[in-house]
Amino acid sequence: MGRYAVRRSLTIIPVLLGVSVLVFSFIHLIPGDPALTMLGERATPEKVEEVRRHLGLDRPIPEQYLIYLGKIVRGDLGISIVRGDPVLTDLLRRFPATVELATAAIFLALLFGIPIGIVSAVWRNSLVDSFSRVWALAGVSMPIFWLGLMLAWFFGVQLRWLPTGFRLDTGTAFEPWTNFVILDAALQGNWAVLRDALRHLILPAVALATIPLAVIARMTRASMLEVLSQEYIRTAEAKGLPQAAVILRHALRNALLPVLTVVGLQVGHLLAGAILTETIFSWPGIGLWVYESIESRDYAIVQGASLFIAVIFVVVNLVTDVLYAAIDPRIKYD
Amino acid sequence: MRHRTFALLVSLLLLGLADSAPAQTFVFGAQGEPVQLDPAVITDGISSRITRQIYDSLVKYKGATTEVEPALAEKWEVSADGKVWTFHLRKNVKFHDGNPLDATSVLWNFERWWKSAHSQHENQVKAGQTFEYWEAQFGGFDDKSIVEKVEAVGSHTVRITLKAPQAPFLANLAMFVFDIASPKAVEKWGTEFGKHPVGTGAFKFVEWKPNQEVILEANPDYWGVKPKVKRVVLRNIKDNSQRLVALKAGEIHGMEGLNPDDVKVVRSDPNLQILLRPTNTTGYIAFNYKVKEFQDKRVRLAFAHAINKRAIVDALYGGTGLVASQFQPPSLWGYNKELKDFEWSPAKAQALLKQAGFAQGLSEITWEDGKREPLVFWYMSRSRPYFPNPKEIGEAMAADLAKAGIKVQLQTAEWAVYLDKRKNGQLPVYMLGWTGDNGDPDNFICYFFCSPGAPREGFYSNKPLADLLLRAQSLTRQAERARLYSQAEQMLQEDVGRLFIANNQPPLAFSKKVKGYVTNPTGSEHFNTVEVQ
Amino acid sequence: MPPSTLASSTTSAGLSPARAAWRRLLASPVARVGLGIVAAFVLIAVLTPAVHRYDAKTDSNLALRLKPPTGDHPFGTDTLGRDILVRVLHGARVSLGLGVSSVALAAVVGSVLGLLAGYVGRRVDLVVMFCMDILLAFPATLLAIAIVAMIGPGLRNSLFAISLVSIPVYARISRGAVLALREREFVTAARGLGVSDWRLLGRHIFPNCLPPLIVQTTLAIAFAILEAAALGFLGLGAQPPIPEWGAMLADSYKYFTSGAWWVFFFPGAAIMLAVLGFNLLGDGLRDALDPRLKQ
Repeated sequence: MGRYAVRRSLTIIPVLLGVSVLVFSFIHLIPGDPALTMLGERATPEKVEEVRRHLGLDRPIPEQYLIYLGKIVRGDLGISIVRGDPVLTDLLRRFPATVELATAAIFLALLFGIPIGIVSAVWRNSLVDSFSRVWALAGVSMPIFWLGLMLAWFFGVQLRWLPTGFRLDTGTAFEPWTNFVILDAALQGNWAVLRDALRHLILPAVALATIPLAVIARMTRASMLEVLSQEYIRTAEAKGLPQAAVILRHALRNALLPVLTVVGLQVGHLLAGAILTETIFSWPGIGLWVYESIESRDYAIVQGASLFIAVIFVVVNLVTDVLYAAIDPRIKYD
Repeated sequence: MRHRTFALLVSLLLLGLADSAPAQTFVFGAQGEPVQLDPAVITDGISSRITRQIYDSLVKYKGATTEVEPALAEKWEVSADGKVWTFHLRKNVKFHDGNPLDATSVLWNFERWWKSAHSQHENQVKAGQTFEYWEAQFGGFDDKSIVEKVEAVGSHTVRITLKAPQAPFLANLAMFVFDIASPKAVEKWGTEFGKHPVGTGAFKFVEWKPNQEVILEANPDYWGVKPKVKRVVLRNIKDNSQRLVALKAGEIHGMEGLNPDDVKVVRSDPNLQILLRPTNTTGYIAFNYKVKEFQDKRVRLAFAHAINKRAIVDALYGGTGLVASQFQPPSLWGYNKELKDFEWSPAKAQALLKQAGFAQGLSEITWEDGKREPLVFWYMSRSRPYFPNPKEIGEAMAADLAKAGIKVQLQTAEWAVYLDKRKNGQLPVYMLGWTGDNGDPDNFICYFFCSPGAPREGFYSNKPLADLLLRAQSLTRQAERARLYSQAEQMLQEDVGRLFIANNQPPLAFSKKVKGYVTNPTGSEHFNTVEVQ
Repeated sequence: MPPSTLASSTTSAGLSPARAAWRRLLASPVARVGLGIVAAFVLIAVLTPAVHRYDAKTDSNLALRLKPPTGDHPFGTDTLGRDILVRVLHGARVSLGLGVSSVALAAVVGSVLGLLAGYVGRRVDLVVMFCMDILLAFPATLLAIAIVAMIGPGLRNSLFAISLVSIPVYARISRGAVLALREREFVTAARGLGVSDWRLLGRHIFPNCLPPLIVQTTLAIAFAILEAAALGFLGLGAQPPIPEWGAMLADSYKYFTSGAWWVFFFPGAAIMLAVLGFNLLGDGLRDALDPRLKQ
């Protein structure tokens, strides 16, 4: 297993390099002169030259790539054209908000998805099963930006139960330590803020959770069915163990394994879904930031954020694969 | 459950809004992030709203009007020939950093704006900033400027000598860009001064939390009307709907940038009130005269008859808009009351197009260099007071044009790019507008039409108009000038030089608890008179 | 044992595999619903422009703006007084068209790449699959958004971006099918007999890839429609006044506070229904085309 882990880890290096090439090429996809487009009204001949030099656009392309590679390896993802702050700093500052949202979404997805999957599998082909299958498919088909709008409209504006924007009521005096507001509030013992933060988190988390919930439900169902049909389950049943015990002790433990890998895969989709959810709820994470950067032509941010998310996605997949191999003794790794 | 939540919210609010009771802090919801807080090099309303609280100028606008009254200068005289202005500064005024306000510091500020070799001018230009307003209002830098000499005469008297009389001179000086900054502070911070502003104003700068808010506190030594609140917070809430939600929830006390459809929502809310800013803003459609088709007046006239301005104003301005027949808004003293607007008539438009040779409609244009391309109509990507919802308005206008046979493709660009393209004369036909800065018609029209053939204005060249406007600028008697400006509007209309669409009275929304907010047509609004009950 | 290709064997009941699959498809209620929805949307997309002339450029009636759903306007009117039902119906062509064409493009390019990689093997395989891995290293939605952000908004650019992110799946499927079949006896036999590679690819191997490809295509169309709407929502897709479902949502959320819920409800519901239909159909096809996989 250790060898597999090492070998698998090594495979991500060429992939990461390839990703860096792709992200590098983004700047060159821009029609026209990227420096001019980025500066817009602020462009003066001197500034354009400076930006071109800064981006290295005056060198041959392979050399540009190597410079770029050197920079990103050292953590220099460029600077924001609009504010002049380093991209990586802003990225790290805003990332916790997205992580908080994504974590809440996964939590909800597991909390509801797994039981739905189990129920579906145990009472397969019943009405409940068909119903949840369609619901699961509906979940995967849901445009989350629409769902977000509807949730915000219904619960926020019509019923006025929940807030529709930001992480806390604007103007709450609160000093975040880690920028994970919920964690910070708990650490500081500030229960009022904690409650407020949770209230703000609910709607966007529900919207973002829709797709992972559906996928997890389906995966749980499929993997439960597979396990339930296996020999040793039937043996246990034959031995006379009550059905609930059989399910819980044997089937579930084995069925949850593939679900774990699905969670890993969902991380990438959650990060992408963040753009669509954060815009609606003015949630100050990476998604909203990328959206605003697209609007203001701050390409360095779009590039940097894409690279960041891709790296995370690749690493998470790696970790998931290794974990899966570690837990499942049946997998062949070669 | 709901009551408990409400109580919790309220206590949270009380906890959050200030260290003491809510009435001590006035929270204003801004439309975005300020660019920076050095008034001399900014041009946007978000930044200037903040700087207006921190700094003062020699003179200021009186209340809700564009009349000028004393500020840092308690009185002034002008010579008989109109060229020499002498300002007597108020005594015992200090900057927030403790340094005294005197003639030397005022002189220092003027020279900074005026002389390109001044160390604090040069460094800004190198950093990509421009002293755009100085150039626009006073003709240019160094020798190009209409200013000949600025001198300190004694410790509290400043004398400014002009090369020729300039009627809007005082009105210009009251603009936010000519606020006086502390020379020592500017020298200390250099190009970073925009993040550490120091002025003489009613409020001192405390902190700027990026992407969140700017915090100011009252200046206890202020020379003027002392602020009624202890702190001011200008909170950045980009989305108009979210900002209104925050206002309704009591998280902020006031805001600008209301969606037109939300005006009626605010009006029907018993806890909120609407204040309209007197109209001083006009939205227009500009033609590019390097496009052959637009060189034909009949085509431009067809555009004028095609657009149903009344319907657009009634529907898309939330009830605060007015149809514009000319460039100046009705509040300006140069407004031409006799001018009749173009009639809305798609039939007339089509007939004119036919006469001009476009019986099949107009959907392509030819530039002077021969290039042919589809007719693209550019709409703004950012909401401005004169076009609060530019995409909708653009679409409505495009539909009107289409019904008359002019088929356009709608396109936009990010705001900075849009302005840049317009500056270089690259847009064939586009939406834009103007909000007056100082209440003088010169500021409205001359900026646009005093330089014939400017790429920025689509190469529109009307020399008689330019001459007329320059003459009006040099006269000093308002009645004479008013006549000339009215004439100018008539000339513009006869030539169908530009299409003026609408004026707006930009709405601001406040909690009913807010008293004493005075709106000003120039957008120059001070918070020292505001109280929150 | 001869491979069970659709093209060359029959079931014990004497029906061709294609017909048997069709029967299985119709037997599942879930698949029936999916088929019905897809058929409905396809009909709407194709027939609406033929039956109703709509000029998006002149559509504007400010006096009727933001009217709630009534008999005259079952879906209400939007901010320019345009009938939302009409725009949603005409939008079907835009959204479905974008979905289908981007997937078609991806299918062709991806399948060819995958077939080549699987059949030729060695270095070609390595290079092609490496490129696919790179594309898959990004969450698809994010990559599409980033690409369109760079190259500029518009329908054509959206098509390009969505196709690009859909290619890797096709490459993997066709490569997998080719690899699985390459070792089979009938292929070695055929090659021994001197049948050309192209003929093998075209007439024998490719038809075997069909079942997973068909399923994948249906699901890919679902994804593409959703993706196109997301791009439209972010302002990166169809430009006004083209009626595109996602773009209609983008304009609509400023009406939260003033109450015009119909402006965002109906276009979004259309997106969801269309995507759901294709997903249901895809799911049903998966069950029908390869009953061995059915749980």
